[in-house]
Amino acid sequence: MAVAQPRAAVEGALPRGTLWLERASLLGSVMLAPALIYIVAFVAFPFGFALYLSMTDATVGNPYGSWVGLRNFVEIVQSPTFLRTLKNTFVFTVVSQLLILILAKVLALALYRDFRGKGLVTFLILLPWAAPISLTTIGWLWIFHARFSIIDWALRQLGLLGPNENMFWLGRPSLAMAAVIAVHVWRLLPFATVLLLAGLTAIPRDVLDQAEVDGAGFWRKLFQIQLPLLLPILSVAVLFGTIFTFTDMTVVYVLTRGGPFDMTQVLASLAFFKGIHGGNLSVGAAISLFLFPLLLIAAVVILRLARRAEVT
Amino acid sequence: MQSDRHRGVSRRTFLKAVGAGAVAVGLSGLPAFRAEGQPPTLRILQWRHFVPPYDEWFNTVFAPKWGERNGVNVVVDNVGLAEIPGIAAAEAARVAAGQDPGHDLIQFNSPPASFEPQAAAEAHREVIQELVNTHKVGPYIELAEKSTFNPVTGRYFGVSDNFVPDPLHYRRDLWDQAVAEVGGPPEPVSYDALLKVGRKLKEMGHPVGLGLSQEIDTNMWLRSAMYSWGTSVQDEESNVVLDVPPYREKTLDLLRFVKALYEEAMFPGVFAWTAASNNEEFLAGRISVAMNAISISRTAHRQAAEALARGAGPDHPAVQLAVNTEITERAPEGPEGARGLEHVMGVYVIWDTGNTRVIEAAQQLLIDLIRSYDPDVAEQEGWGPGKFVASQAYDYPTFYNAIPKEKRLEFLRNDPVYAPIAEATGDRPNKLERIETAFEWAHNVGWPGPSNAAIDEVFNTFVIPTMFAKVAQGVASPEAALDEAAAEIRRIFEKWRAQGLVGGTR
Amino acid sequence: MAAAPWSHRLRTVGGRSAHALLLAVFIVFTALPFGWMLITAFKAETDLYNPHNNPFWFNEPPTLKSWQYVFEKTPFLRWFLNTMVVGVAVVVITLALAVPAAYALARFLGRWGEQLGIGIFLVYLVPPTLLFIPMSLVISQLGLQNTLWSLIVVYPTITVPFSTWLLMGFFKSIPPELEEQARIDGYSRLAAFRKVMLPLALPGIVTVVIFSFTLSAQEFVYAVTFLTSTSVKTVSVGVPADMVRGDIFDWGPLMGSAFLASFPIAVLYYFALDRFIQGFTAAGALR
Repeated sequence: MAVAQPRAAVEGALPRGTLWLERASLLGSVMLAPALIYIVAFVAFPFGFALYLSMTDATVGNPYGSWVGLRNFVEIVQSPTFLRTLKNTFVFTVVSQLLILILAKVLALALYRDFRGKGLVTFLILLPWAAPISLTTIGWLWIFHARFSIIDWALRQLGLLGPNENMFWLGRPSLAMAAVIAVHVWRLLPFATVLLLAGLTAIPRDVLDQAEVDGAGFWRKLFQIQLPLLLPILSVAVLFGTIFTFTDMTVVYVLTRGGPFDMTQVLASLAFFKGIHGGNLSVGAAISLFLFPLLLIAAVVILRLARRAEVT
Repeated sequence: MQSDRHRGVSRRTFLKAVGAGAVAVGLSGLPAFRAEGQPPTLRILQWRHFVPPYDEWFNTVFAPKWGERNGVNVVVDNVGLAEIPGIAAAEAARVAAGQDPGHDLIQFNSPPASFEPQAAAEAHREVIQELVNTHKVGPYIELAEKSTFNPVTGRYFGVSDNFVPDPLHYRRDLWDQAVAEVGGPPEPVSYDALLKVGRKLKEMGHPVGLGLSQEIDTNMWLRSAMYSWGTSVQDEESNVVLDVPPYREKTLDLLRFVKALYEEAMFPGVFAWTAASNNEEFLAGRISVAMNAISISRTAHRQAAEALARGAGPDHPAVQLAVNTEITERAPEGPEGARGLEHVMGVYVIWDTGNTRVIEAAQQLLIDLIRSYDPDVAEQEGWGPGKFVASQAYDYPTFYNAIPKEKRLEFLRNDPVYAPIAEATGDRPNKLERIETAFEWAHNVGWPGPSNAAIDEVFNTFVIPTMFAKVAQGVASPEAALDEAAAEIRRIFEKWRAQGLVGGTR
Repeated sequence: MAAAPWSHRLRTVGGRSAHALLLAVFIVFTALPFGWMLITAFKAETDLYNPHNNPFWFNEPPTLKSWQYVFEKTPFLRWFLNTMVVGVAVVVITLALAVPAAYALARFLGRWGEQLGIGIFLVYLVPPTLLFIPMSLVISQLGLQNTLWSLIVVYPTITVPFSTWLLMGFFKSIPPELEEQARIDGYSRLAAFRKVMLPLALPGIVTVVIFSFTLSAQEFVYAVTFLTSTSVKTVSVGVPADMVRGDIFDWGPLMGSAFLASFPIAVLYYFALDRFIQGFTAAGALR
């Protein structure tokens, strides 16, 4: 992004004492410094320490360990459980983000209209976002309960399940995976909806009216006007949801503990079971940091591409 | 008895002198007082006990009175069972860094072998010796020894104060009804009977409920079955043996048996088992057999008592459920024995902070706590009714005579929790007396070897439940599942052997 | 009776019911769990443990037992207060640090800022599962363990980078001409920032507030390991610790607390929502 600063033109007009504040790079540094110092002071050590842990043989009782290089990483890639976990983490994140996007878009369009009771409806849709996830996931545990599932009860009332039949949501691999995704969608949908709703509201009415005059139908309006204009806010919603889903441990930890047989295990929960409950701190650190090198490479590649795009 | 309580504890007698000034117990996280002359603060972290009256006794009777007597400021933090490993890991790192850990004494609910380097092992040994030699409350049972002693380093990484037996619970009415039709023993005394009668029970809509999921109950019953099949994860010397002949064939045989048991006598809910499932399913009257601590019985008793209090008659379903809930005399029998497990292994660890006053206070507290199993000792000390009665026999002593056998039986024969229900229904009040046999059949996780750090990681990463669940659900052959699990277990063992904490070579 | 108005009306009626149906489906998905929680909190235990009972209604007379437990046996209100204190403090720190940083990155530090932004985002894809161990050493070194300060100090390490990155986008979307115009009118850089940029970035700031507050109210791992005394716990930690006993879940009190903890926060968000959307509209009108 070009940062043209008409510096010389303005400086002379201002009192001398605050002049340094008008020097862009200096002011920039001053404004950035507190955040940067805070982050470095509090994150650099823990993060560096975690990286160090992943390359040692540390355990919970011996939290400094000794250096073993990349051995932990070599070890975990040989573990079928880990590979399964890696895949699950990506699948859960991608599928839930896709669902959230689609559902949030539909819901935002529905809320965009004026109708009676809109306030109440909006409130009811906001609820999951306000709830502490550690508590609501315990609620979901009952909703998906092997015996008392309230979904099963509803299905029984509808005659879709026999009187003593159950779906065993968390006991069947595919249903358990669906359950984990459902909880993620449930908790993140409100925020994505609100973002999209705000974005929709911000699209000037006359742009849409003009399109309608030009004979654009619903889909054309959607794809050619709304979506492109919503792109920035969509990306906020997606990235936000990605962070929350990709690094979340609570949902899996409470709902399935990775089961049935590791079919819903994710990196964060596996790292916790291995590193904390199992005491194998270094391997736990390696599991949670496994993606770090890949993410770093991705960052560099993205930046290169971005730079090239900017030059041309 | 009180007067000679401190005899032979010259190192700790000064505590009494300091104790002259009584100290009010603060419940906020006060920093440890280190200066001489001021009372030391002893900060304890333990689980929120399954039996609420136990916490009430410990927090409002035992800890404050003991603190007053000994001039120690006692602070107790109760947290959820699942939260202890995380907190302990953070505290161990602080101990290793020479910082204040935050607590001085932590009670774990399974053997915390991996924390050994930060534990005050010598202090633990002294506590055990003093209890056995001076107070004569021993022997320290083998289950406890194997759960707290590391034979490789010769150190005690903790002191076990209790174990919780893990008997089979069953519904007498349903079992009788099924046996009347298909025949079989009067109680689920063997795995064969479980399969045979279980088929009928499943047909009746009340299947057997033994989990096949990533949780504690599954971990326990599958090990119990492995031991009874003559196989185990490790041998006495901590060699990995579950896939090595002659154990391999036994493990495979059990894998096939569990698949059959699942298909013929259980239901898909076992794959979604949680620690709460056997209670919930049993109390809802859905399953007929479960393996659990006596929490199933106790919850049934509580619900029955509540129903009676509301004025319900003895025929009320909640009351009848309590009447029909029984525990078996011993663990179910397999081809090579009837071996069971503990359900919870209470192990206290004193952090090795080098703060001798606090460590000595922790030692004395443990000694007095374990001596207080005996209701008479506890009454004499002024902090009755003591550990056994307060926990309603949930905490069973690891020092065999901490409460003498006749006193245990006396409590269980006229169980104050169940007695009112027994009276209202004409049932016998000693329903839980059989729990006493656990001394004969309860083994440690890791049997026949010690509960070492590698065993702990295998346990907590659910390698065994995963292996069985894959076979039972038909996604892997017994051979493939066993080989995968064994490879994972070997990786884990090698790591801990390199740490010098685990023995064995294979 | 002409055909056209009828079909038109039918279409609107049909459209309206389709619209209502669609919203109803979403409300069932988002809010029904809360309705169920509320009912469960008033249920007798034996009512709950019967799979044939309607989970959404009382099959046995309702009881206040669960609520008595929540309010008499646990310091629930204290936990709630703690949660609010931590949330507000984290929001304040986050704004104080992230707003200037984002502005600096967006306006003064050019592409450098963009790179930093992407870097920050990627780093935060690393599951923070085990970071609590070294972090607890830092907290202990500062003498903050077992105090609310431990969370107030630690949570901004998660919220600041993300918020900075988010706000950077908002600042960039504001045309620099507006600012230049303000400076030509004689405002200093800082004044231009305060008077022109901040109001326009309001939706971004509200987003950051909501994000930071939510994260502080929901975080679990740090809170579990840093706060062990009952009196300093937050809702998301105190409730499971006090209402799950070994292998027994106290469903009534658990669900009652879950409902009680969510409801007021949802009300707050609801009222923030209007400002949020207005802010976006204001920003959008500029395009």
